[in-house]
Amino acid sequence: MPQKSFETRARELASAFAAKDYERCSHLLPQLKVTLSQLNILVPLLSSDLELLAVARDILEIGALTAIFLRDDLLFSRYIAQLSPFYAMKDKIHPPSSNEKKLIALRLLLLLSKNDIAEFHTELETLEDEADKDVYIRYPVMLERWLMEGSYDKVWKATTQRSEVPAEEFAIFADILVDTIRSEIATCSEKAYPSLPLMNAKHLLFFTEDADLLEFIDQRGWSTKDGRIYFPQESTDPLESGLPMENIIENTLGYARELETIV
Amino acid sequence: MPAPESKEPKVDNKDEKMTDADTVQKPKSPEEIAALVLNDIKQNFGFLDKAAGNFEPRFSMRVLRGLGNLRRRLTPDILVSTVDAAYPSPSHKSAALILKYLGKEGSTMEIDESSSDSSTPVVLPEIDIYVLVLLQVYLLDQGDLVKLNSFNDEAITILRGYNRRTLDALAAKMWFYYAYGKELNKQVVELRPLLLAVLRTSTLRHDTETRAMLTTLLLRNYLHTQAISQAHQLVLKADFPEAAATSVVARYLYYVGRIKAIQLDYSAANESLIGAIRKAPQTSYAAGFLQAAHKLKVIIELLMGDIPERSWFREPMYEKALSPYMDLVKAVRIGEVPQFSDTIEKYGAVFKKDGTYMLILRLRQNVIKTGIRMMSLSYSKISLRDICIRLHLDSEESAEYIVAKAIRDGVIEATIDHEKGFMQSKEILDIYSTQEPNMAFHERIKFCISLHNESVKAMRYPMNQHRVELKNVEEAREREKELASEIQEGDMEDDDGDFDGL
Repeated sequence: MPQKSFETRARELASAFAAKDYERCSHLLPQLKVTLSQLNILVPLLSSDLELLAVARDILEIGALTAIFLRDDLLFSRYIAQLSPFYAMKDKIHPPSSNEKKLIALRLLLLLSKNDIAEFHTELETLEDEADKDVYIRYPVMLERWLMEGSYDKVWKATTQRSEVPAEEFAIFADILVDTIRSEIATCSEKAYPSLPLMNAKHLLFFTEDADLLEFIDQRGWSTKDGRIYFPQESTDPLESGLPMENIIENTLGYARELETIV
Repeated sequence: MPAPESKEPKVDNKDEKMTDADTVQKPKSPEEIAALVLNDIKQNFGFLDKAAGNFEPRFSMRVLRGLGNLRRRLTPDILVSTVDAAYPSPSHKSAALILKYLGKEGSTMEIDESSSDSSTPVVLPEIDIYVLVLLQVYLLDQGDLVKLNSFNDEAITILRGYNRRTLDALAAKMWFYYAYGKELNKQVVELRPLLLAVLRTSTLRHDTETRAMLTTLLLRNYLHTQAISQAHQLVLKADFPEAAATSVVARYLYYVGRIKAIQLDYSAANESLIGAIRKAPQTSYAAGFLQAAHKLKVIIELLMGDIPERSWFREPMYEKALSPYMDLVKAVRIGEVPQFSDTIEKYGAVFKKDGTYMLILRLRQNVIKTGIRMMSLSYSKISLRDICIRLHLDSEESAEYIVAKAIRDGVIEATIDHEKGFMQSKEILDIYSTQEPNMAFHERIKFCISLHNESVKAMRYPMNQHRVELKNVEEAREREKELASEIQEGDMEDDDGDFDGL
């Protein structure tokens, strides 16, 4: 009977996940999803069986967490999308999920690392108050705030020091975030400093090895001389850059056209 | 979520001068007042008749505008007499329904025994729906939500039985109260499939008013449950008919502005809100809506980096509602983070009720930027440590990073000297030598041109007027022809008489 093997497989999945055998998890998941849809609980409707819905939700959550550990962004996003109707009905499904906040926080972190700030804020609106109360959700919210302000040192501390990170899944995003911070700092430095000694640059960009720093410098196209980095300067002289003729002509023609229509 | 004051923004009492003059004078007995109200309602029936006959939506609009005034004077007795006047017999479906909900089944009516279904005159659908709307409004005002809900369900079934263009404006009103009733009863999510289905039907039938109203209702629904991405999709995919009544357009623009603000598109949001404020009626009837719109506008301007004008906050209509926002603006302008946090703490509940709390949290970085800007303008050279102290930042390092980001974002013009640890402001360029004036002029010219175009499009000519003119011209021509022929004949006759005068 599909019911019986479904339960045994669900239990198998749970044990595999607890043992951190993610490959096996990703094997079992597609089959389980097919069974879920056969039992009509893949998409929760008001008519579905409420007990089984809790089981379905747990399975999908394990799927999402597996995707994180396997660093598969698309798969994770897909699981989250499937989970959102479950969360929308959360007062009807018992027991409430312990992983819900964690998964929402992970999704926010994913959006942040991709620099999708509009989506980030849209998701945040649905959460309203919980941002301050829940330790998981507070993490990406504070990160975003610090990034926007520009206090990159706080972001750095939050991502790299283990004491600040609320759960191990978040640490996986650490690499991406560090890269993001570095490129941000680099762009800011280009505009802000006329030149910078190498030692300070290493410190500012949070590098530990000189070799890394030099590689980064090559990547950004800066020039070094006498142990200082020189950033390429933009010419600020407006006459030199020439008048934007096309723009002015286009605008003026537009005005003429509109004025003609005034009888 | 804006509080329900935004429901009746379109009341223009100038048309109902007669009623105003009548009720202002000496206090009247209840029967006289009831008679007056009944007269108004019967007059409205006349208007609706004309509207249906000539396909002129103006009359329906006029009737609806009087609704706000009428609803304050409705009593169950008046309603019963209305039913009496409107329906030929109380066994008519709608009449029975209304009487049931008024709790006056079969009381004051003389039941016409001899009438059978085939001989009863057909009730004009417009009048039918109008009376149903009157009852909806009455139940709503009584605060009887459960009754309202069940009445709504049945009323809507009656409405959907009709398919007439002239019913458009009234139907839109009915849908509004239906959705509002459901919202008050917290049945918001179930409403969605129905609204979407009706939107489809009305689009197929080219029902502009209903379409506009339903789109707006759906947006309100989505925003109520924070389903912002769905609301966004609706805005993208569903075309909004611009020709609908301005009050609905104003509401639509407000919701669009909110969605855009959440998605960080501040300049577009600002434009939408300016449109919404302009299109809403500027009288005190629309106070609720205008207050909500202004609150949102203040926040968006702050987020864009501009400081809103102080003159708004002084207007009597807005003073009380906007006072927490005034404190907020002050905090942002000074650029001090602790004061900003204090203001948020103090007015947190108010902001959450207005639905602007999350947007205000985003203002934190604006405060810091303003603070840095002021530093850079007032000091030509300032050490990073001093910046850190004055802006109440946590450490010198953060101060350095923050200043670097501010420079990158173009908030200030300065350079940092890392070794000596200070920030040096660059000299201020002569602004006329840059492109700035050109762009500012361009923006303003664009605005004026679009204003002109919109005004031209919004001009309305009464329909068939040109035909009347043509008819006049025809008549004039005929008269001329007659005159000419008369003169001709007269000439021949008078010829003989001329010589007599000699």
